[in-house]
Parts: sequence; structure tokens; C-alpha cells
Amino acid sequence: MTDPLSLTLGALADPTRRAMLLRLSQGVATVSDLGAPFALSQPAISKHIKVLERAGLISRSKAAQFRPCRLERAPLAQLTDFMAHFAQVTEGQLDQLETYLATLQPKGAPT
Amino acid sequence: MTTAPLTVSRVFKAPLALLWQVQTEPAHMAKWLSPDNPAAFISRMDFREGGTHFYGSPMPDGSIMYGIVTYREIVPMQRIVHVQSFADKDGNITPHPMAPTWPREMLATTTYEDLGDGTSRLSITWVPLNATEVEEATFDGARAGMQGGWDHQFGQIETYLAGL
Repeated sequence: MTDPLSLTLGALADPTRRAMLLRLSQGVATVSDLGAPFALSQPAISKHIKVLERAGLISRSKAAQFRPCRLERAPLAQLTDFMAHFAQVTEGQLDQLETYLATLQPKGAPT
Repeated sequence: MTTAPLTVSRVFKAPLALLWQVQTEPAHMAKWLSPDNPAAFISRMDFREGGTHFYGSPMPDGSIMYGIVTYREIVPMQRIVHVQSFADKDGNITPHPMAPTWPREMLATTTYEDLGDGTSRLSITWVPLNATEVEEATFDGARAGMQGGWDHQFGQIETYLAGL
């Protein structure tokens, strides 16, 4: 899984990682902050962080002692483009179908 | 990895027979799939079990999105089971243009339901077919977005970050 969008989608397939990202949307956090809400081992938490980091969804400061995590915007922008496309070819088509069906039926006809 | 299906459902103010007709006849499909330019809709349909539908649907950016449907099961006004893939203009199956690890084949089950009073319900359920683990993960990520609402949440995050 090497292309950026697939990495993003793979990272987001897990609810723990989605929760971590939502936490980071409120500001930077340390790994232990991010792991605190979950009953998971330290290695499990680290693994989730690594997946998010590899997908470019978070970055970690090298300077500070606790290497806080920060949410990165670029992969999310690409993802929302994809989701808009996805919605267009599913929900959007149903909207178009609805509009077309309305044109085929006389207005005010008893239903 | 076990992959859960993705389902969308919609109730239409139309009798079941009409809904079935506009969903299965290319002349109608052109008008709702390509409302701005029905003449540009490309369709070669062999509507029977085992038959295929090769189509090209114009996109707002001017490109054409090609796809291939293979019908596995057709029960008139009740149910269609088909395999769906993206394709190139020559009808070769291709990866999704935006997401190369999107499943190449999806199994779609469409059910039709008469709700009475001139209304009917259409439900479509997708699952990846013959998918690799990577394809399943890609599908799971998108399904979580469609049905868990994170596209909305992350859209909000994106908007917020853009303003910083």
C-alpha cells in the first residue's frame, strides 16, 4: 500500500486511530495523551501512532522531549476530494435519479 | 480482515415499475446519469443473467468514467446482483483513477421494494469481490467514512486547519 490515498484510507479503517486524530484536531498531544483513553498496551499504542505517521496524517516534533504529535492537513485534503467523488457517484446518482423520476410523472398526480 | 458491506438506500416517489424501467433501460439511464448531456452517455447493454453492460458516464470535468457491469442475477422488479468494475475506453478493467488500491471488483446487490402509494425503495449493497487485503483495507476506510460520518468530521478539521 504505497500511494498516499490508500495509506490514508488504511490508517482510517481503524476506530482507535480515528479517535486519536479527532483528539489531535484539538491541538498537539503526546503519545501518552493519545493512548490514555484506550485500554491498550504501550506497544499497541505505538503501533497505531506509527501507522498514522507513515500515512502522513501526523508528524512528531524531534526537538521537544516528549515528541508531541501534530495533525497534518495534506492527506485529509486529498481524502475529502476522494470522498466527494465517492459521494458523487453514489448519493449523487440517486439524487439525479430522483430528479429524473419527478420529470416523468405529472405534477399533482395522486400518489 | 472481515469486510462489512456498504449500503445506500433511498425512497423514491415513483411506482416500482417506473423505477425498475429507468434503472435498467439505457435510454433512461442516459437521462439521469448524464442529465446535462444525455447524448454523451455511452452504453452497450446486454441485460440478461451472464450479460454485461459497458458504459461511459460523462463527469463534470469533461472526462468520461467508464465501467463494466456483469449481471449475475436478475429478478424483475425485485433484485439485481452484478459485478462492478472501473474500465478504460476499450473496456479493459482498470484501477480506480483516484485510488489505485480501491477494489477492482465489487459485488453489488440492488433490491427493489414496492412501498405502495406510488412510492418505492431502492437499496444497493456493495462488498469487495476477490479483493486483496490492501483492497479490503481501502474499502473499509471509505466505508467508515460513508457510514461513520468521518468525512464530515475531517472536512471540518480541514476547514479549521485551513483558517489557521
